[in-house]
Amino acid sequence: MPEHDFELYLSLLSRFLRLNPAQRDEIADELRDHLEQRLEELSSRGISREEAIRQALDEFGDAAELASHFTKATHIRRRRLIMRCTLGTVGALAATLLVATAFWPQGPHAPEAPSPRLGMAQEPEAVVPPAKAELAVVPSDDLRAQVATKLEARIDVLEMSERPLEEVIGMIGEQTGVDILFDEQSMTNEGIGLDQQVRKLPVTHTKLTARAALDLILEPLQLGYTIRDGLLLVRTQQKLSENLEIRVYNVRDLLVQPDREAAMAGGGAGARGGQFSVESALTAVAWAQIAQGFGGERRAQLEGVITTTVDPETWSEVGGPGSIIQYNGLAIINQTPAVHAKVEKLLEMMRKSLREPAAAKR
Amino acid sequence: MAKLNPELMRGSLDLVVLTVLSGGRKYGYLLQQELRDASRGLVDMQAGTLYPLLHRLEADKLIRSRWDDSTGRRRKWYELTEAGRKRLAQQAHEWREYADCLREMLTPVLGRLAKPV
Repeated sequence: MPEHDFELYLSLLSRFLRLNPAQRDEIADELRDHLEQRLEELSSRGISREEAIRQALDEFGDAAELASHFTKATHIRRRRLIMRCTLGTVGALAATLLVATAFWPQGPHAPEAPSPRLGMAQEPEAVVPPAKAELAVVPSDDLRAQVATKLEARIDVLEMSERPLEEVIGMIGEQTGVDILFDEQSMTNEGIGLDQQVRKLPVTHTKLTARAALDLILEPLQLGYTIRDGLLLVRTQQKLSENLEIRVYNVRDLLVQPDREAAMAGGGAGARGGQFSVESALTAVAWAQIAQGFGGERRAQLEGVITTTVDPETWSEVGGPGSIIQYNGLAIINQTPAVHAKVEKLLEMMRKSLREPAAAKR
Repeated sequence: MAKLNPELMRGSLDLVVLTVLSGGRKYGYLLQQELRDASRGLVDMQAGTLYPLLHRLEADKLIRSRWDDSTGRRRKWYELTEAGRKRLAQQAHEWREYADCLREMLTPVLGRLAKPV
C-alpha cells in the first residue's frame, strides 16, 4: 500500500540510524514534514498519489545509505568531544603523576605509577638488581615505558580494514588501554582527514600487536606517532621529523665493563681475603668503573655507536639538527621522535646481547 | 535533475546552503525550493543530500535548529550561527576570487570553442 510505504520507509530509516531515540524521532519528524509537502506539490501537478509517494521517497534515496550519512554527521562531533575530554582528564592526571613521582623516595626503581585508567591490570615492571647503583628513573620514562608495554598487547584487527581512521584509532585505544590523540592541526595542514579510510589489513594474522597495527595503519597515510606524558599522539610524519625532543637515557649499564670473566677470575683469586661471590666481584668491578667516571673511552665509544648506527646524517657532528651529550652515566639526546625510537631500539638490542652469558657466544 | 555536473558542485554545497540561510531562517523543504529558485534551476539538491548536510552543518555549529509549531504543524527551522556567518563570509570571498580567476582563464577558450550540446 503506497500510503504505508511512507511510514515503512521512515521506520526502516529509524532502525538504521545508530542514534538515540530522541534523535531518531526528530529526523523522522523532519523528513515526514518534507514528504508531506512534496506530496502536496506533486499532487497539485496532477500526479497520482501513488506515483507521488514513490517519487518523493525516491528523492531520499536508499534508507540504509541515508541513515549512514546522518549517523556519520553526528558521531564525528561526539568522538571529537570525547577525545578532547579525555585529553583534559588524562592531562590533569599525568600532571599529578609527575608531581607525585618527583617526591617519591629515590630507590633502585621508582614505585609503579597508577594508570590513568583505573582497574586495568598492570604488569609489575622488572625490578633492577640491587647490585647496580641506579639513579631514579626519570618519571616521564616510566610513563613512556608503560605505554610501550601496552602497545605490545595483541589486538583484533579484523574489524578495522577500510574503516575511518578516527574509528580505528578509537578501537586500538580501547583495546590497549592507551589514550590516543590526534594532532589535528598538522593533519589538516597536510590534508589528511580523520575520516580517511584505513587500508585493508592483512587477514592472515587477525591479531597483531598494537604497535604493528599502528605502523601498518599510519605509514601509508603519512602519519606516525610519538609517546608523550603517557599519551600516544598521532601526527604527520612531516611534523614528527621536524620537532626535536630531549630525552634522557640511563646508559650506565652499557658503560660498565661487561667483564664477567675477569670477575670470575677475581673470584678465584679470592683466596687472599677469603671467599667472595661472583656478584660481589661484579659489584666491585662496577664500582671501580663508576669511580673512574666510566672511562672517557667507553663514553666516546657508546656515542660513536649511536651516531653512526642511527640516522647518521642527523647528528650535530656532521651538521645535523640532533645532538648527544653524556653526563654522569646519562645520555642526553635531543632528536626527533623517530630517531629516539631507533635509539631506544638500538640500546635494547645492545642490552640484550650483553646479557647473554659469554660462554654462549663461544 | 540538475543540468550541472554534480562533481562541479561538490565543494560548494555547504556554501550555497549557508547563503540561502543568510536570508533568514528556513526549514528544509523551503530551503530546497529557494535554492532551486536562486540558481534558476541549476542547483537542484536532492532531499537525501540536503538533510544530512543540514545535520552536519549543525554538528559543526555553523547553523542551529529550532522546532516551531506556531503554524499549527511541528516544523524544524534552521538559522545561521555567528560562526556560520563568519564561515560564509570567508568562503564567499574565496569562491568569488576563484570564480573570477576561472572566468579570466576561460574567456579566450570560450571564444574559440563551440558549446557542447
